[in-house]
Amino acid sequence: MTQETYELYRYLNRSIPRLDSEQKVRGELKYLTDVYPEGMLHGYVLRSTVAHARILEISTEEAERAPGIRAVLTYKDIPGINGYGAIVPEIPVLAYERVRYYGEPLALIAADSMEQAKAAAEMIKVRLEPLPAVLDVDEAMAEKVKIHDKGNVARHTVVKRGDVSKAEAQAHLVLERTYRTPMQKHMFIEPEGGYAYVDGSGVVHVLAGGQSPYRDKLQISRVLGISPEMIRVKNYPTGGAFGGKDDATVQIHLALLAYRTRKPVRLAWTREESGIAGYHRTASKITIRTAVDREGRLLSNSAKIVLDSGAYQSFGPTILDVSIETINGPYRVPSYLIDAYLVYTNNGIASAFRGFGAPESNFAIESMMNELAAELGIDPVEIRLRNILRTGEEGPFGNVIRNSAGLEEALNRARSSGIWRRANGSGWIKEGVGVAVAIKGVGFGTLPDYPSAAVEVIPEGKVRVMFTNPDYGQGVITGIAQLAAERLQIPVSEIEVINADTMHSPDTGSSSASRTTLTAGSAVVQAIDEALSKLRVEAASSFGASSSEVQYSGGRFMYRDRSVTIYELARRLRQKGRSLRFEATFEVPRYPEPVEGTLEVPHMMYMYGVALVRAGVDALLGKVNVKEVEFYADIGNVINPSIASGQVEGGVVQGLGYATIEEYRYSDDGRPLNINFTTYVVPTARDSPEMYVEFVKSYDELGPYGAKGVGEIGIIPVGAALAEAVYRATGKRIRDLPITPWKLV
Amino acid sequence: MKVEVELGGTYIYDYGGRLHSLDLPEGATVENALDALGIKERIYIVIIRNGKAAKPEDELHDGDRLVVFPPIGGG
Repeated sequence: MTQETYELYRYLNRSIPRLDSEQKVRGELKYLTDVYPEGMLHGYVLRSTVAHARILEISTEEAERAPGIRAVLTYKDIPGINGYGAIVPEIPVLAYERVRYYGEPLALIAADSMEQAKAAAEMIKVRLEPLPAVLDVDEAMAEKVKIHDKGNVARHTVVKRGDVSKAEAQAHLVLERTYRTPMQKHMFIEPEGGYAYVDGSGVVHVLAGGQSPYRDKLQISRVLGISPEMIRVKNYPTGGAFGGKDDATVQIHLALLAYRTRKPVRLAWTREESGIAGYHRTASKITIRTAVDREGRLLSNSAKIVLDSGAYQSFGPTILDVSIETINGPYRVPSYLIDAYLVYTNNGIASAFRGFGAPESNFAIESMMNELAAELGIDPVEIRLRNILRTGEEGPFGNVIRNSAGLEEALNRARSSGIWRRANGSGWIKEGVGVAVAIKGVGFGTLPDYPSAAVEVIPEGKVRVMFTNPDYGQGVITGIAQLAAERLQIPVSEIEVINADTMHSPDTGSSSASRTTLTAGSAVVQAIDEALSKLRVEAASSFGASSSEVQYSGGRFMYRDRSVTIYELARRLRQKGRSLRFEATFEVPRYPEPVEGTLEVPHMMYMYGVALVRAGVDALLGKVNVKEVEFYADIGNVINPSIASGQVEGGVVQGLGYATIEEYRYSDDGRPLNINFTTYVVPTARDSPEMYVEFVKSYDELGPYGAKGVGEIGIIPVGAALAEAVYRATGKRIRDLPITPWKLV
Repeated sequence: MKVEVELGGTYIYDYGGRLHSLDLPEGATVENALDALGIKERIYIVIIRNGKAAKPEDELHDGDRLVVFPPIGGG
């Protein structure tokens, strides 16, 4: 398929309604925390109420004897490995020897009622010897208090090219600045939760909100010490995630309790529990020194990146990788030196969050680009056009930029936008417009990635499509159904999706890294091709023709004046006892060799975005009022414009929250301070500015029907664009997010 | 028989680089290949043989290509 056929699609480039929206709107779709299985037990987690301590004693005898108590588990009761974590299994399932953050799980309880569970938790004797809480990355790197015996730097990587000192000596201007971004909470509507049970065959079923059912399954297997074959995980439907449910949350605890009691167990965190024990975005401190010539062309970039991982790593190593990959922006940077640190503190656990690592680095490099433009007297869009990598050029990490034409187009659209003329403050309301550019890899970069999917042709007139990337509200089910319909040339109404269930689908991997369209989409298309290939043989046989003589169109194979539908062929196959299920595995194209010291740098496919933000600032009160946002994006071919725009708009609003009002905070002794919607405020629909989203025409031949990805691009450039708008309005440079009133007055 | 193995993710750093060429006896399994590389993990691991998911007990054939990595995620 080529770009020339762009307008010929029947089911793509169309804003059909989400397939599950009616069920959701009617309240008919049961989220997994809405399910209360018959005869279930109530799960409860006893958590640490100090941030850092040595464990002297956890005694459960009295609690075990309490009324209605079916199980009380500590680290001693874990059959397998007491550790999990998407990359390094260092997060204790239940704490032993040490607690490293406020809220760390100490014991699990299953009881007939929640009241009994809580009463029993009070009876557990816990003796802790407090240790100083280390909440600041600089303090952690001084290593006066060790959070882990191996030291407080979880990971340190240096990536460099060329001679930075020489470049700086020849430069017209060298600027050095330090930028900071805060911890951010996901604040999904459905807190972490679900239920689990063991069936008559001994299979442990875990049905809980999540983003990666097969990884969950393997993590559970490792902890329970039983074969993955004996575990089923289902993650659909999930009520929001944004990365916060990518690593395991309740799944392992649920499995432990159900496995021990052999009863159905429900475990759902309260909002406050989610606020205390859920993951959050890494805080960052990035010092960047950038050299340019007189025309604003980049000569070198030096960056010291420090990310706060919290008490354990979770996705920290790859978050650090993304921050490394994006610190040079989408720019031609002849020399660079990136010194990157992932640092342990006692601030909860930082993990995946929409764009992970990219919003952090983007705020630094894009703020720097705006500062350079101002110093040099160059238009901020023009300085970017002078530096962006064009298609075919070598990227900063030895990769070839395969397809960046959309970025130049997006910047040109931004330059000619009318928004620049609409910044008209009056009185003490000052207005400004800011711009920033984003680049983000799609998928896992150099990490091997082999998503599989299955399709089943149902004789009664449906094609069942099965893949495991969970739909947690981003519209995956609909987008993949559209791709399937296009491939099969049948209406979307004939596509039935089974989502995120290891019992039905092979492993398509996680919903993360804006990868689902690429991975599930490609695997489903291949599985359909496999199905059509097999059905073609059957059709040809029935026609007495060769396969090459048979034509396919609109769900029907044809030969001369005869035809047969795929459903009739499926009926015949079923009568013969043949399988109607077809599977395929897609090998995601990648550069095989990661940059030394990284796991996944660089990517082969990138999406791009340009954000324009117009904001008013009340000079008396310091209040920032974002008036409008324009966003131009290259996401490849757009499967469903309405859903894709929604992803960008949602990302932008989440980015505005990150840039203005959101900051997850801890007290001096490491207690989380803002753990619910009263104390951690996020923007709502009422706070959303006027928005205009435009997708520039783009087609990437690596993606299914030219599609790339979209989920993360909206959030990434918003902080830097808003900071520039505020600068243009007030003359004040804000280098640490969020931009709160007290930083402006 | 010859089996080519590509390691991914953290295994590149843990087990001596990305590419390995193994000489294994006839009838060897994926597990034998993992043993030869010193990889002890059998649960939290993804094994791809000639582009398809495989298990430790699967028998190998001359010229097979394995890709082996922990099921990590990235961004």
